[in-house]
Amino acid sequence: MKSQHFDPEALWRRLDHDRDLLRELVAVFAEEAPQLLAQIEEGIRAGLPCDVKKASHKLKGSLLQFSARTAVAAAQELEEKAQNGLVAGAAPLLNRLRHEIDLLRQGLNAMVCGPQPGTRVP
Amino acid sequence: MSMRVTDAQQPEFLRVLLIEDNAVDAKLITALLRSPCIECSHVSRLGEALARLGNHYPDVILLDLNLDDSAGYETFHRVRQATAKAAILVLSGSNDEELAIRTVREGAQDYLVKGSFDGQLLLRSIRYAIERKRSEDALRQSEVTVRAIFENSLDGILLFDDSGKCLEANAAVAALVGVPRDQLIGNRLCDLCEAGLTELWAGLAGVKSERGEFWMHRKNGTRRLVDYCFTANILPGLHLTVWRDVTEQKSVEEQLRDSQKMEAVGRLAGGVAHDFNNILGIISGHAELLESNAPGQAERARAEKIISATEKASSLTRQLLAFGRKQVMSLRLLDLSAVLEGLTSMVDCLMGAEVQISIQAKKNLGLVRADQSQLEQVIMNLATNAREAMPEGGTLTITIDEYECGGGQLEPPVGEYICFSVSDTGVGMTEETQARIFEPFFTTKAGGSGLGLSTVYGIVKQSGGYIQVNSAPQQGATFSICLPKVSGPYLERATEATEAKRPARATGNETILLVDNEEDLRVAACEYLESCGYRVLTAGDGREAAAICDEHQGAISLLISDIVMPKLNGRGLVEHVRKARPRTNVLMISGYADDAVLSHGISLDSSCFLQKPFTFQALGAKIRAILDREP
Repeated sequence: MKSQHFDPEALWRRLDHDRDLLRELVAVFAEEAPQLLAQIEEGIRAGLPCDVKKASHKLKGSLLQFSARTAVAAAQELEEKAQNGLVAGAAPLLNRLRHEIDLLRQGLNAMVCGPQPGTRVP
Repeated sequence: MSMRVTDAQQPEFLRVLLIEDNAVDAKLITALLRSPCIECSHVSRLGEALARLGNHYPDVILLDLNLDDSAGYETFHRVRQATAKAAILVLSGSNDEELAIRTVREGAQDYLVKGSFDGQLLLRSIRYAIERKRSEDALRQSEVTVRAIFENSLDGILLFDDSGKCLEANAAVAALVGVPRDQLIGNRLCDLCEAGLTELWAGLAGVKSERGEFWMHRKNGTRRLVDYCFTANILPGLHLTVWRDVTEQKSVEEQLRDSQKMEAVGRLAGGVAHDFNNILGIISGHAELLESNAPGQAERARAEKIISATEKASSLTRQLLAFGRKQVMSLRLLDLSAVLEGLTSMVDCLMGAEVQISIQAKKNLGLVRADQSQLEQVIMNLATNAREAMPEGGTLTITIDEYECGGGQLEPPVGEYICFSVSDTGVGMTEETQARIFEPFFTTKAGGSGLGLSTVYGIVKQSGGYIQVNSAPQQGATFSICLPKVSGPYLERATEATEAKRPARATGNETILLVDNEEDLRVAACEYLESCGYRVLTAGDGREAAAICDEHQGAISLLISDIVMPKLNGRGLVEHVRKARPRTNVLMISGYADDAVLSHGISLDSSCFLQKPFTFQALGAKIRAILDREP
């Protein structure tokens, strides 16, 4: 399942193959991510780089823990843009970030529901 | 392999405070640290963290720098200020490692990039951070301690490079050199002193370590004696020297050495003088017998010459005994001003018309305990010395004042004193002469005995006082004498007149028991006393005398006994005689030091004591004075 977007093996190792812990983290992320995306969208719309920077930085932290490389890159790009005060025209970047997060959530749900890595599927 | 914390991996209980506003990060880290050996607390805002740190003392803080109520370096700075003891481990994002590194430089112990650690790495990083904090704290404490030692040392500590430039110096060095400390650092010490250091540096070239002393001549003209130890290359190109100002200490040591030298010379002189006294007593006694039995004028004249010569010799031995502090003293409470007043006319006569006399003696200063005749001798000796230093005339000044010594030197010790000084405007003395003037037989005058000032020295010391001299060539001299002030009732001055040189021959018919282990003296004295009409019983030691005392029928009016004798000493004999014959008077004679006499337990009331050597006529007068006094 490892892809350019996401490294589930690395995540399993970090979590010590604890499916319950993964489930908890996914649940927290599922609650947190939409709020942060909404803050970013609002910040772009209102032209508030600080809000965009703060929310994208926070989101990036979570994405790092999930080893979501491309989502981390998107969040970082947004953060840097906001750092430089350039939030106008950041909407496409936000859309890309949303897409990456959707892919990540699909992957995480598959990890939660699927077999443990290393087990044979009959 | 388990990535979680296990008990086997974590024996020490840890308190962790997680400051993180990201819910996923907080959940993950808290889960990774779940263990009975770890207490992990979580706050999401800086404000909450600071409040917690007021009464919560974690071992380590895991810190996200970007929180809702604080961001960046400021977050770290405020947490660091709130706790000096906890280790701090910064949790950074992937693009702010530079900031994380900065925090480590400023006091954080480590940083971790999010997404790059599992439980094992996290725990290892926590342990490392704690150990690093402990090491840093220990090093800091060590530095503080070393710095405190360096700054507070009373000895000067100095670090310098190969060129002699001072790199570090403590306050003691600055005080010793006599310049402000900031003038020392970065400058060559040789440039800060007039002399002393250049020669020292030259001598230290190529030396690994050394100890020694040198004189530092300061820019202000003063000089200090410095005891130094030097070690080259404590680090490459860095040299260490430690200095101690020993100027006062050396001065005190020299004073002590001089004092001990004089003490030793005094003991020698006193010992020699005592032996001479016994011999002189014999010569004098037989000369008196010869004189009294001389067939003609010529023979009488010869005997008188012998007596006169022995008297001069006795005078010399008395001075030696005085120097050796071995005279018997008749101590009284004296008013120095009154003593001086009694000598004014003699001093006036001694000085003559060419010398002006100025006496500045304060009244009612208090009393000293001394022998009046000896004190008069001191004043006259010093006045004589002063007159001889002013052959063309000048001014003699005698002052008397009180002095309170606060200490800080060898002599005089702390206390109250009455001091008198004798100053002249004469030729003065060099330092070399001043160092020797109190030695017996040292003189700069042709024909001088060299005993005048040594006598003064001995009398002053025996009186418990202190003497010093200040002089320079052509600048006169001042002798200052301090005697301890005593409190107590004023007693009369010594009423005994100085012995007349040749008292008239006293006669009597009483029975006298004469005891002296010096046979020649005993025989001569016996012959003399019998010629005066006395009946004389003699004994060579105390035991023989005690037997005579027990066996003699009839009264024994007077016991004359030496004090220091073999078999039974004078004290024992007196006790024996007083038990058997309580009405027998006692006259003790001795050539020994008063302390040797006193150690025999005999108090010296001068009315029943006669110091050897004595003339037989003086002996006769003493005998009559004792026998004729009221019972």
